[in-house]
Amino acid sequence: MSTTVTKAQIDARLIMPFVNSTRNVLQTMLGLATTIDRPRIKSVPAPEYDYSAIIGFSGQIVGVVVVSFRRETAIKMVNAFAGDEVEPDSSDFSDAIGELANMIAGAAKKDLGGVASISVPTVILGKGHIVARPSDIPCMVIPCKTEAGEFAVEISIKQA
Amino acid sequence: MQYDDHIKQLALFVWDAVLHLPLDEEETSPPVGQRTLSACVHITGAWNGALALTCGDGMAAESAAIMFDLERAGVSISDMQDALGELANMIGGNVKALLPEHCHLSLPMVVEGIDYSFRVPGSRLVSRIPMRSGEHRVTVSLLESDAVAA
Amino acid sequence: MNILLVDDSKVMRNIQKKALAALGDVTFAEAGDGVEALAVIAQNPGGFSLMLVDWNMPNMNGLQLISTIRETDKKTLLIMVTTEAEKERVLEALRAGANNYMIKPFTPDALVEKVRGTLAKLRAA
Repeated sequence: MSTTVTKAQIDARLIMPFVNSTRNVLQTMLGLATTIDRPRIKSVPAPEYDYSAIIGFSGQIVGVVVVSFRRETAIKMVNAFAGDEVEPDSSDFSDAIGELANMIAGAAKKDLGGVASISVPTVILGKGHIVARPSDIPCMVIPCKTEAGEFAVEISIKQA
Repeated sequence: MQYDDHIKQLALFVWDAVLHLPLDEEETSPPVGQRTLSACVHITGAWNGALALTCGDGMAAESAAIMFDLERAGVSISDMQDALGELANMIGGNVKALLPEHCHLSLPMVVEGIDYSFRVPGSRLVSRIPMRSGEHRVTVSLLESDAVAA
Repeated sequence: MNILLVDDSKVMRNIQKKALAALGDVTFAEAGDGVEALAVIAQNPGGFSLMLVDWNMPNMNGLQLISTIRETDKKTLLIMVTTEAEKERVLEALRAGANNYMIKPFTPDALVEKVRGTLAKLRAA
């Protein structure tokens, strides 16, 4: 199945703030340099992850942003963030995942060109889950690589 | 606000109005270990939380077939996700109508998997209602946070 | 120096503690939201030189906490620590009584500098 997405539907002005905020948050809080591969439309079938943090946007910008990790990467990143070993699947672990997503979304918010609110994060824990997005908004994946492993920032937002 | 009765009534209303299917209360939660889809909408503003609607492939496919006027065999994963997202959106929208003014509803997101859980840091589960529509199990959950969303 | 850390994320409080240990002779108290913070303050009246306050928290958010503290306490240093970076939000926090503002994400050095800078301004005032 192929989906034709016009350039008008993918607004780079909505993607770049997340590229910048991801780099900034990872470097500042985790001391990790992030290599960002070229953003692309999310593939079908979607990849599976073990931890995802979801932030909803409402107001002049609407949609969802999801930061997803496989288990090994999540463990390394949470431990780097906390400066200590955090028990995977504990409430502290999911708090840390949520806080990382909150900072990535929060730092991007001011550069999106509209007044928006972001929700508190919802964290999904579960081996091999898939997060699907509103189908009327193209989902752009920002593939990220660090020493701790790869993760994805997936953006499905648009001007309301 | 007492949530259980409101959520039940709203879910019944949406199931009847949109799907023309029965929805009854179920005493026990669905068994674990089965593949399910969960659609989640966030509510932000004067009240903050999330509403999640969970069911198996069968219910999602049946909903998609009814809502999008498709043959059951022709229902895709995307159709199922869209249908469930729309149902959560409708229930969430009706929950929002009961809340203080100045609340916003996020667009829905859908999670699929076998053994997963939702956690909203700083929130608590205030309502979890197992239900049944024919042979299908459906669960509606409401999480409440007192955090003021950014 | 006794510092109160108010943030609903325990991970974030630990990060702040580790960073601020660089200040030297410091002790810490913690609270997970504004209500808890007020209870800690009530048990230690006048006991804190500085409070770091997150904006978005359950039960009572940081802005409400700062406003409440300032009703009776004009002296304790209050620094808002948050992802909210819009100018209007910064002004809102300062109007409520925050002495300074730290945007997340931050490096440990940046946090220490912010605290030192805030303390220095107070001494100069």
